[in-house]
Amino acid sequence: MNDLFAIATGIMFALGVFQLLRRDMIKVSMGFYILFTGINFFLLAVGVFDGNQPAYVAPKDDGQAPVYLNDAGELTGRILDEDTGEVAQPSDPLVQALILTAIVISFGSYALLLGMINILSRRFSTIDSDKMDNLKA
Amino acid sequence: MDIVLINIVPFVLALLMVFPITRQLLGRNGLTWLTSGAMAVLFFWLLIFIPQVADKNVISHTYTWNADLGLSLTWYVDGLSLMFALIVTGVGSVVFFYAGYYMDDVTQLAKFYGFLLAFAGSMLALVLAGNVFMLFIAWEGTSVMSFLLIGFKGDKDEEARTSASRALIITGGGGLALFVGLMLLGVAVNVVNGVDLFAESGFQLETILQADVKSHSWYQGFTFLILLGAFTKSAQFPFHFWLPGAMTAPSPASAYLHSATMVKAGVYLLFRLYPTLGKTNYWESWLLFIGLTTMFIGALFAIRKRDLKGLLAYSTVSKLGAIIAMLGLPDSIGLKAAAIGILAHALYKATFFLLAGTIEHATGTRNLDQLGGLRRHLPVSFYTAVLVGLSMAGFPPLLGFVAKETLLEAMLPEHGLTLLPIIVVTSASVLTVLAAFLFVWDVFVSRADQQYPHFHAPHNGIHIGPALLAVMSLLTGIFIAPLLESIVGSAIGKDIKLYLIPSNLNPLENHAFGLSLLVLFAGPALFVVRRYWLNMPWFNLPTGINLYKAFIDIIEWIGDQLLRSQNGKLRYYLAVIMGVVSVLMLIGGAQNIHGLSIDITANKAIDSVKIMTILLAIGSTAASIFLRRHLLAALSLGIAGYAIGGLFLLEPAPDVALVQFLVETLATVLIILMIARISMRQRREVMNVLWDGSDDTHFGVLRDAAIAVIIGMSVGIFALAAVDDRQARIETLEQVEQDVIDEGVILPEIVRPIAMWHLENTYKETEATDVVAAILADFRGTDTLLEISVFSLAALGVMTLLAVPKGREILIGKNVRDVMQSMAQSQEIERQQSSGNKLDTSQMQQIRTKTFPLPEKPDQYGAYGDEHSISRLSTPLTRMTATVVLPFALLISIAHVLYGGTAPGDGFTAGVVSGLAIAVWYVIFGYYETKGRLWWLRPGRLISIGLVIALGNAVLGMIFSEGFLNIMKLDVHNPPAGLHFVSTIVFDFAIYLTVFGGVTAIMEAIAHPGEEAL
Repeated sequence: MNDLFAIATGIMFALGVFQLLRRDMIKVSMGFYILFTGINFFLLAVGVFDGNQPAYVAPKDDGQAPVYLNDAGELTGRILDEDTGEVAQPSDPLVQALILTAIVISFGSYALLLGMINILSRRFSTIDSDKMDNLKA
Repeated sequence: MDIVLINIVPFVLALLMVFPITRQLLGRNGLTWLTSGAMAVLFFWLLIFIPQVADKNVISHTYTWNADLGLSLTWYVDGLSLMFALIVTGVGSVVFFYAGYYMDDVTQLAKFYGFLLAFAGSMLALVLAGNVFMLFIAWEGTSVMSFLLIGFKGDKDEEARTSASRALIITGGGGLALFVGLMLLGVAVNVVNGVDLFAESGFQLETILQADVKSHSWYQGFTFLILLGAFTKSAQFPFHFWLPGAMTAPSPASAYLHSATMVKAGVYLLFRLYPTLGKTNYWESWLLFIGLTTMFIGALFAIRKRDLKGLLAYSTVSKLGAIIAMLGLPDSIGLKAAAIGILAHALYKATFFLLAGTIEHATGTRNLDQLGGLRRHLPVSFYTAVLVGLSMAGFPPLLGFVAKETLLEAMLPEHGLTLLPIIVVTSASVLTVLAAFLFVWDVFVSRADQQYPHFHAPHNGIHIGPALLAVMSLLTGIFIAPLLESIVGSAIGKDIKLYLIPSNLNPLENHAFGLSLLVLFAGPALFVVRRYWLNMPWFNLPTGINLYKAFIDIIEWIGDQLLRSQNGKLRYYLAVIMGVVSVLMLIGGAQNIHGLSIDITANKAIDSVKIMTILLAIGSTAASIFLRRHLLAALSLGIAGYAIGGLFLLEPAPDVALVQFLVETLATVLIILMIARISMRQRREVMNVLWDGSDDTHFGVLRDAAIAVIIGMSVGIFALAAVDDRQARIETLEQVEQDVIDEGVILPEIVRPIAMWHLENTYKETEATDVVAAILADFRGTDTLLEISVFSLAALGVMTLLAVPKGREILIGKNVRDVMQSMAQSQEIERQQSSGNKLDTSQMQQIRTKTFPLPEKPDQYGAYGDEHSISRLSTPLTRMTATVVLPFALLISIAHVLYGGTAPGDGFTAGVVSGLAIAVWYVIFGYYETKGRLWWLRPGRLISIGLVIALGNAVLGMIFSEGFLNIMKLDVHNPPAGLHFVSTIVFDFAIYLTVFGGVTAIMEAIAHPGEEAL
């Protein structure tokens, strides 16, 4: 399954890079946002394990929590399905934490980017990047 | 240790010069006495070392700088270092004293002293350096200070700037060659000594001096590079031209850097490495050839110069050539001659430069044709000039005589040379005598009736320095031969005898003495008949400066050609960069794709749902490319975001999914608001050219698509490889675990994925059951701390970007009533102008200070807004909803913070939830009403309070717990409402405040009326 996320990462990067190269500055900002998403996909892909439960661990067996610490303090998963023998397994918490902060930060960067585009549009009275050629003095 | 102190003093003083308080406290005299006094103290301090080094002891001191890189600072003092250090401090003291009377402006003086002191420090470090790194750094330091001093008047004088950069390019370029040469030398020394290639010892002077590298196969290579460095620094042909150019420096700097010390750095280096590199055919032929050529050319150019300092500069070039040539002699007599030459030249040439400075200072010119008869005006300078002129010409009993005797003696064919060197040296010496005569005669004696309308008599103190140096030339010649013998003797490591009166006075038997007499007669004779030959039109020899100019021209031409390929449009640069990256990826990555397997089988029922969601995300992202209208594109991106949120939910990762949904909502609102701020005309313009390049072709789309596909594929393959690797590791891990179970070995902690550790220890360490929240607020707390800082910086960035409408005052962060006042004033101005009233500045000012009546209640503020501010969504129903939503949002946020450890949601989601409520307010009530009603909401303050709490919590962790951000627990029995009193709650609260503040800042920045609205 993780392979699918890896491929999705690639596709997202392709879409993002293409948007990045547009002359419409608003589309460029969208390109950045797509790249951020692509990176989140990548983080998700390299998670260590494919869990079937949220990363919540009950301190002890309360008879309900699918994942708990047994008396010896070991991580224990309840058997979910007697027929298939499927055991509860938490999803990788570390990549989730990384993605969570990444999402918030990418929002901040996105806002900054949009602010810049706003300024550019005021200064050049266009948002066509091909018409902003003041770089060449 | 003493030696380190001596080296540091000039730097400390240079630092003092930076502060204006120094010159305000000390004044001109104070500065002069402080600097020259300090240099004099250093001089006498160094004198104390003479007895020690005269016994061929070496004083060294090592200070370890960076042990891991094998870098250290080593000071190394032997006779040679000491001789140069004495020149640096001795001449330095005189020059500093002189400069106090030379510089008119005390601010300029302090700056000048600062540069000179930093130079003196670098030069001392250069001659006292005990390893090649320190030597190189000091070497470059002197080049840089020389650059600054040559360009000292560069703010007004363009020539000063050109000369300065020319000097820096030449000496700096040589410095690079030198660095490579020294590195190779160090490696070669290590090879010869049979130690590790980059061992520190090979770069220590002590080891280098004892190593035998002459037979090493790299010998010619590194020797050439080192010679290149030395030749450029010491202004040898064909690099000599920078030195005459350097005469744009103030005269004291010329005296100090460009005659006495810095230009001798190359000489010092060759002298220093003579035991290691010298006495080979390669060395001797280079040094003799370059040295003698320089000597002759310099002397020839000197006498043709009518610029006072130009004459001196070329004669310096000539003398430097002589010294270099002497170092190329096989016999140690050359070393003796070189050492004496260095000393004598430092004394008389520095004096000459100082005199030139006095003359220019007094008359305002240094053109020999406009000078003359100054004997009457500057008598002290005249006598000084006569004295040092005699020394330069080499008359007994001055030091110059001793120097010339030893020079001639060293060059005699008796030492295995051909006749050519002695002929060159003799004729160059004759020309030097002529130059000395020209200087003294043309300035002081000839045209006795020359009038100076702008004559400005200098302060008497200006004469003290040059006179002192001139007397030193005399005294050292006569009296202190023993002292000189010990200095020079220890410098070359041999006992020597200096004589003032040659033992054999028969010119036919003592050839050196004979030639010396010849020179002393031929010089004046040529001088007397100069009008018959000196001004004859000579052909101009091509000099190095032409080469240099051609070189610079070529570089500029290449630059121009490169500039043609620049079109100034950013996205083409981006395309080129990414195109190159994609080509590199194709080349480099293609070989590595093997053994990658792709496995997308849907094992579980949920997997097919995941696949569908991913497809939805990708599809709507792709739609954002094809949709022409911005609003639709933004909405389709929003759909993609929600799909990804759904994916997180399926993962299952409820915390992430929650944040993703909230942030996606906020981001979509954000982009729609942002788009609304950009005028419809501008947006139409780009919508219409979605697929068109600016050159009306569609080639660009294909190119971009190719780049995008290649990069996407490469990233995808990279991700696949990473996943594969991860999978392989997990399998290994399982294998190891199996082995452990089979054999009963304890599994090392490190082999396990860190995520496992997090899962098992979250509750034990933090009393939280939500592992993700625990990682955020505790395990990786420092990370989170930095991340909220970054987020708040981004938010503040948006605020500052949008806060300043062009040409108007800053609106954000101000009281809303002030903003409305300013708005009302602007509207008044606009109204008057549109009704044909021409307003002048004072009338405008009047309106600007006028107070307009404002509505009392915030509910009525909306009337002051414009069409951007008043929302069409403002209906009683929506207003009601928004009013109710806000307190609920705040409550939900608090709940998220308090129960972050046991349920989905944490500081981040809390901040975004509250922020969303504020966004709703801005959309429904508009800027003014929101600001008026929520006056207590100050985003900047929220951010700072949040960051302070976060930092305070972290620091408290250091005090009361085990370290920065370490968790603190409060033991409460039967906590109310299932709360856990741990410090992570405080941290989560800080995150909440920061994120809330950040989002509010962004929203306020977007919602406030922009320039067009005004």
